[in-house]
Amino acid sequence: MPAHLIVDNVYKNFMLDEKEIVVLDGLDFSLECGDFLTILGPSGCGKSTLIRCICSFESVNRGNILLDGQPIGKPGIDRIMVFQDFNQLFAWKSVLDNVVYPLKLNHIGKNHEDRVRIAEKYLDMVHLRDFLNAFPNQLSGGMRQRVAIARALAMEPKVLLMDEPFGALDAQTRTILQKELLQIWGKTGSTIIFITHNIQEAIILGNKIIVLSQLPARIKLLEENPMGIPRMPETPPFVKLWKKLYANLDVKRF
Amino acid sequence: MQSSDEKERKEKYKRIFTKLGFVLFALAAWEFFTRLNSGGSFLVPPVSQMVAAFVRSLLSGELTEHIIFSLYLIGAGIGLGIVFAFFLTALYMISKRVADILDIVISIMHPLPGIALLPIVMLLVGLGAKAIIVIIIHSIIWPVIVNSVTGFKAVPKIQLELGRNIGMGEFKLIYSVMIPNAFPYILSGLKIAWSRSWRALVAAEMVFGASGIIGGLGWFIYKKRYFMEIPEVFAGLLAIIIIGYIVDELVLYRIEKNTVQKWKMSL
Repeated sequence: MPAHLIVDNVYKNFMLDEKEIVVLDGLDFSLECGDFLTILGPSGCGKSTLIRCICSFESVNRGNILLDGQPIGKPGIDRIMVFQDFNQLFAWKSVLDNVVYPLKLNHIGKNHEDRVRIAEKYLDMVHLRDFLNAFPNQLSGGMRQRVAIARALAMEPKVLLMDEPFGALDAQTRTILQKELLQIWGKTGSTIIFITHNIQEAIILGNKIIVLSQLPARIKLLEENPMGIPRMPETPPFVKLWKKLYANLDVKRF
Repeated sequence: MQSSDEKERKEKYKRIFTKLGFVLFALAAWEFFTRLNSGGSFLVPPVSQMVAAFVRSLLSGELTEHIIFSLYLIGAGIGLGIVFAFFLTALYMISKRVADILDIVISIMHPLPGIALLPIVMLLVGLGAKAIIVIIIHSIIWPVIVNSVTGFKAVPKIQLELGRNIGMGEFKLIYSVMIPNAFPYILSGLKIAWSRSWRALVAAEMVFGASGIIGGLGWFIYKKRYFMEIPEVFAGLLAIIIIGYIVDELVLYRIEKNTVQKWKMSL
């Protein structure tokens, strides 16, 4: 049986001032159902471009991306993106409606009551049950990201794509949301690709970790995370893995 | 919660009281100073005379006729203006060429006062209601286009990507993502349209006289000044103020409160 998601020799370039810039240079990896892949890389290395290609927001120049053996087509709810930007909710819809609306749009759930039930289940998971009727602009950044995660989960995508969703949060909120995301992953068994430039976050979350090189992005390291959950930063295997990832991360040294 | 609700309500009443108090005080002062001059000044009548004139001309049907005619002109002008504006906005968003052309048209037409155009408009479409409606359309179409276009351009890219991600087609994106996102801008365009249309109507009628057989409020004021019925002139102004306040407070403010303010989307 082929893997759940296959990224097969993907190549992508941009034209910038008539100069060709290679962004993704022959990326190759695959994920099994229920994998939690974190992708690390220095800023501007093409991490976001990769995940945007998987979501079909951008097209690849060469190579294939296969989901359950089928080439991915247009953007669709089989691959839902959670962005870094807090502005990814519909400001004119309540928290509940933000989650219900995409379900309705895609005829998920038998009727309205059923959709509300689904939405409440996932909003429960992200601890927002008391805020169903609030509007997004009344919520904090962390709460808005929670809504976005609940909305994505409710559609039960084959792959959940997360482009530094916690990147703009304070350290404390970030830690809490990491814990919550792991709990949710344990409950739902979703397949997740999570972009980050934070080594600690990559280790805490991912059961697989990819380190990308500086532009053009190539895979420098594909590492299985040997640790079980919870992964504690002060433990020896954590520190060992951290050092290995750090050594492979092309951090510009001045 | 209870006490903060209570506090909020008290604060609300306080504000209403302040506003109302100020208006009553100003009216009382007006009455007092105009009465000082042995039974009322000729040029500025006391409030009581103005109100009496207002009620009198309302009851006689004269003012009522003018109000209805004004509202008809405004309604036709705003209705047509908004339809044209949204149509042009759509073309603007669809085609880069149209956008370029509209940009130059807007920068020429937007600063041009409707009154300055009235002589030409009258030559083209004739005297009467049509000319006034054209002027009203002119006075609102440009700001409404400018506001709507600004709103649509300001829709964050991420919102469009999100829409595509959850399976929206192009039409659905416009209807369910772009328009709601641009709504604060569109609403402020409509507010400008409302106040501008009144100014255009009254100004046009005052400069060029009756439009149609009856004429609107501008003509009423003009006519009354001609016969030196000053309280009636003020009654005409009062009618404009009351209509303006009603639409502002009961229609536009309601819409704003239940949409943009409720969603905390204010510009």
